[in-house]
Amino acid sequence: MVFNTGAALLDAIVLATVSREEEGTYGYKITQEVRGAIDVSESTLYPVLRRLQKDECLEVYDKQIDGRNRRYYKITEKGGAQLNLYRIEWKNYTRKVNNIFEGGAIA
Amino acid sequence: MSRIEFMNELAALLADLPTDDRNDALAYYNDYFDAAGAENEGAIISELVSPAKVAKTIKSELGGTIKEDQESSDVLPEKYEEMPKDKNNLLKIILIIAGVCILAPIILPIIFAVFITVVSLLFAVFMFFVSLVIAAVAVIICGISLIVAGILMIIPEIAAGLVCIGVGLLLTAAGLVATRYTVKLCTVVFPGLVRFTVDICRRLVGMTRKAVA
Repeated sequence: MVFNTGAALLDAIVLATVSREEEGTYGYKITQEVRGAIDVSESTLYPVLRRLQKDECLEVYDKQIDGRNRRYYKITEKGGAQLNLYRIEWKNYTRKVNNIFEGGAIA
Repeated sequence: MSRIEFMNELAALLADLPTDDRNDALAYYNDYFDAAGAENEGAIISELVSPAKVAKTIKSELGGTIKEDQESSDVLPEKYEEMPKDKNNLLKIILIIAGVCILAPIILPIIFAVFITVVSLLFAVFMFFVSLVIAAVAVIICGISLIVAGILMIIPEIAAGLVCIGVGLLLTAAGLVATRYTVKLCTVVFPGLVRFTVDICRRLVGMTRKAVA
């Protein structure tokens, strides 16, 4: 992993991952998807999910799977709004960085 | 380490958290292992590194929120590794000061006594060599006195007087030689003694420095 992932970017990625599933998704699956994109340890994501839950960007519910309770995370409206903000910020950020890499002027 | 051992250790490490937080965290990781399946158990355990690391991540997150511009790919562990180290050093210093204050009334007299003993021993050794020189000089004085006594005896008793002078000359000669050699012995021994003392002092200082560091 060449570039470090800051806390905000991590939040954004997790929110985006969860938002892809209408019915929400669970910890292990979220971790696998996020690790497809960035290099994080399996223990990094629990605190992030926890924090997003406390900030009311994610909500949780339990589902019975194979006789056990599995905790699912689902994105809330607030989470969706936050994700959009992150998306816009990301667009700006990458545009500026790309400009520098490709030698163009900063718009 | 097996999953069960891992989770047990993690549960123990999280014991100081509020019940809800602890149960949430344990449920999450139990779910995680379940979802991954038994075949991935080993891989996950090595990825998580250790129950201690996981516990630390959980606790430091619950302690506060991460600032927006904090950069690191494994977001939490490195920063929080450094804080305990500084705290440890400070704690060490405080403990040393407290220890010194408490033990000083006992240790200082002991140190003083040891020091005095060592100095006395060295002084005794020094004096021993000096006494050798004094003995040699005493022999010379004996010799000279015998010579004088012998000369005085010549008038009444020539033979006895000559014997005295003879013995006196011998003694004087022996004394002179003895003096010369004992003095030489001293000049050899004293620098050695001094160097030895200095060496011990230096070692003591070095030991105390190492102990404090």
